Amino acid sequence: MNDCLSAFETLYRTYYRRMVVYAGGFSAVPAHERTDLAHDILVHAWLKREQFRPRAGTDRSEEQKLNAWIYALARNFILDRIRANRLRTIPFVEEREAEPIARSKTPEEEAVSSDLLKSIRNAISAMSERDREIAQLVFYERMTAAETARVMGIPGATVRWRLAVMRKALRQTVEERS
Amino acid sequence: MKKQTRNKIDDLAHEAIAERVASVKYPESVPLPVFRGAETQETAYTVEESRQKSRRAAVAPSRQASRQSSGQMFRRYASPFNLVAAALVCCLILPPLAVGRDARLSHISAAVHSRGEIERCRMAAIDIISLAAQGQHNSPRR
Repeated sequence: MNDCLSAFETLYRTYYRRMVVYAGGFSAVPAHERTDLAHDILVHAWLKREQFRPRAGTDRSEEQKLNAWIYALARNFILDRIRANRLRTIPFVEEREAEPIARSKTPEEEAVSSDLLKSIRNAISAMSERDREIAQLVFYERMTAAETARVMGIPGATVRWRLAVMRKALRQTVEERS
Repeated sequence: MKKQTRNKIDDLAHEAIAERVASVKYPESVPLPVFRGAETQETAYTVEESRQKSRRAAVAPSRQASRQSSGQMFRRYASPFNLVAAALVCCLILPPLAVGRDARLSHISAAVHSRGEIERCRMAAIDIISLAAQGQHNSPRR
């Protein structure tokens, strides 16, 4: 039993924050629902853990495969909840400024980098719901376009196209800043 | 786009999203019961139980209501208006249904005697005759 509990704790510690941010990407999920939703997703993933069967023959690690499985499960769970509860639709607003992570840079570099990251965060926040989702899966989780397409249930070509558009927009942001 | 530029943009986007992820706080106020069970050895919760127990206490009223049973919801949302509506239904709608055609006849009689209009009398008479033809004998006095 304790092994199970510690495994669940590990799962929870690893994915809780990611799930809160992921749920926040859906504009139909109110801000106060995100943490509850993240908790429910992880409990749901835990209950369904027997269904996780990583595909053999790919060069992705077990962790990356688990990532893709959990995100696919989370996506379905969130959409089910939205359909069931008819969650109130609210515009996506970033609640508060993110706390900067400690980095080993000079204060000047830190200021420039922080400003740039803020611009990029704003640019990502201004994207459509689908693009934000793709951004999190590809940029943050380092999923491939094919994995992202499987998670989201859309064609791989669509993911690659949206990625190209996003990269172009982010590049413009970076160039404007620098 | 060059691969180097693409990688740089990807890294910046990764860092920007990582900051957002890092800014999310763990629910310190409501630790998971599964953790408590693991630490104290006093209980062995199942995951289903933990789900129920580790829900946040402060949830939106609508969600709280949705989790309540129908009986609790009735008590929660019972208002004087419902009682008044039920009383009106009992007093105004049910008696005519229960009394039936006799009530209709007396209504016709009252209309005839109070107004005395020829046309209404005629219509009332036709009504009375038609009802009498159907076997009703409770015709009003003339």
